[in-house]
Amino acid sequence: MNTIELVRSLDPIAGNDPAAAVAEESRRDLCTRIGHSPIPAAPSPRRGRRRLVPLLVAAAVVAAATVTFVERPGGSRSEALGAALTFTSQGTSSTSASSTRTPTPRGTTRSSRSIT
Amino acid sequence: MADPPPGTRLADFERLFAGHHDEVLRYFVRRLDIRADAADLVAETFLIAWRRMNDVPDGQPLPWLYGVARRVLANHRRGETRRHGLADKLRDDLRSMPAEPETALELRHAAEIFRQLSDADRELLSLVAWEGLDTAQLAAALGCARSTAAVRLHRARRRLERLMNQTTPGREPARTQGDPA
Repeated sequence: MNTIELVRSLDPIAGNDPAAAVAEESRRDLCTRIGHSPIPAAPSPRRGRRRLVPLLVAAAVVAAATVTFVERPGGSRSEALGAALTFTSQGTSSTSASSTRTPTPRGTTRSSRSIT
Repeated sequence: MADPPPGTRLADFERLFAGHHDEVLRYFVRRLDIRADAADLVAETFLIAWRRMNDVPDGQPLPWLYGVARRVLANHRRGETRRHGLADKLRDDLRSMPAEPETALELRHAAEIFRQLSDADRELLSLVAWEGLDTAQLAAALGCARSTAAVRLHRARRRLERLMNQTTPGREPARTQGDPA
């Protein structure tokens, strides 16, 4: 037997149509009651936008503040300018075997040894 | 889309209700153990349709209504149905409906196998076999592409066939895993 035919034979209301049990009056009553029920106002897209704009501005301010003030590891001023700072405070060029760090464009640092 | 004038809206709704109330009612009665519960679910489905008249497709609203009915039924099974005072009379009518006739042994066996399918497979097959939807209407009711609906239906039919071939009366097969609805 075809599967669809098989399922059709299992129809729980075959020969016992519930629609026949419903009085026309009940049908009309339900239709009238629903037709007189209130329709909730749909949220306007402008109102949604009005809520979104301050949120976006606040997020942008927080992000900017984070980028400005939070130090990335290895990206501090003293680490990046270590050799130059030594030079200005001691008045001589640093020629010792101390390691210097050169800032790279991405903010990471590279260690190098100065030649004596 | 702009709202139609209230009079037009009501007339459109009355047409929709008159044209499809019986099909929606049958949909619920077929799937519920307590037939009187169908009254609340019919009321809920048409209440959603009334509130979303702008979304009801012009040409073939029935698959769209079945889509709403599926979600209403799912909410009912999660125990989230509101009891509608709107449907009091309809509930009384359904309560007085005669009981289901006894089915033959062969059909009872087939029904047992049908129940072994997943909810999603059963719903697909029922929409086609009981509600008489074609593939395009099935896709509209499920809210998916036509090709997806066709593939899901094909797989559900294969799973039912496999179960029929595996099972002999009195032996229960394992429940199959269907696609989520």
